[in-house]
Amino acid sequence: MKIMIVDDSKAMRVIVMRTLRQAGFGDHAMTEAANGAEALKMIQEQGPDLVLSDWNMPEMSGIELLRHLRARNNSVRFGFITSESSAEMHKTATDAGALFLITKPFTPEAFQSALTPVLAG
Amino acid sequence: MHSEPSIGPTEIWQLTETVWSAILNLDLAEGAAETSHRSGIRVMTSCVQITGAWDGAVVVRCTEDLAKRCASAMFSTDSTTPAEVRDALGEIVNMIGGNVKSLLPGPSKLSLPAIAEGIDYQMSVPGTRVMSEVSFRSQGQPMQVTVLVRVD
Repeated sequence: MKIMIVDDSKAMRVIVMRTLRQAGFGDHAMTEAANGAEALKMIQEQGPDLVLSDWNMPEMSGIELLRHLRARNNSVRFGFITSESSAEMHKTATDAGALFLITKPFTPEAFQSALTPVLAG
Repeated sequence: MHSEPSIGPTEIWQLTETVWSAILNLDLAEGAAETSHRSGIRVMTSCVQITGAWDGAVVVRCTEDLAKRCASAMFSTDSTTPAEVRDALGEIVNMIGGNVKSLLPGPSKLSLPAIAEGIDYQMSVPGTRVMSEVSFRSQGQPMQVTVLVRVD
């Protein structure tokens, strides 16, 4: 399977990929995008199986990316990895079609808990 | 009785310690405030602003040396570029600021991080006062995390 990591921080993309490997998902192909606009283009070209996106990014935010995808009838599995985790954001994310929201800082266990059922489906 | 929402030293300590242990895997201890203002040392400051139902900012201030060590931990390499160091410190304040925002009344928005660096400078967010500040030491280097609240 192909997992796309979307975050404007290169440091965080490195950490997400490292944590994916620590959580046992290292055998999946991983690609990176630096913001929502870049991800939107790459998703159409590459067709990843799962998108892990930051929320707060320049150019296009994570929630804007998800809404753009759903407006284009793209149903790629989508989860947020964000430093913000209010109940309001959870509702906004799930209403837009996100499957989960992982809060930064995170652990490999948090990745296992959120991703295992998603990737098994 | 109405009470003002507040972030105190306990919350700052817990949020910072979680970032240090889960993401950086570096040591963290209480520190003395004055050591981070020693003259002649390069210091980096990162800041995110929170606007909406609650207005304020979160600021992380540390020596350039500690910022480099944090970047090395995040990138798993001893050789990091200045851009990578700024990126790492920006992500650190983003994580702490995002979690601070989650403890305060919403809805509100978190800004993208801003970074300042240099020697013997002061950075201020006009129209705010210090709500809470904690001084730390990590890797033998001083660091401060400050939560500022907008003054009406």
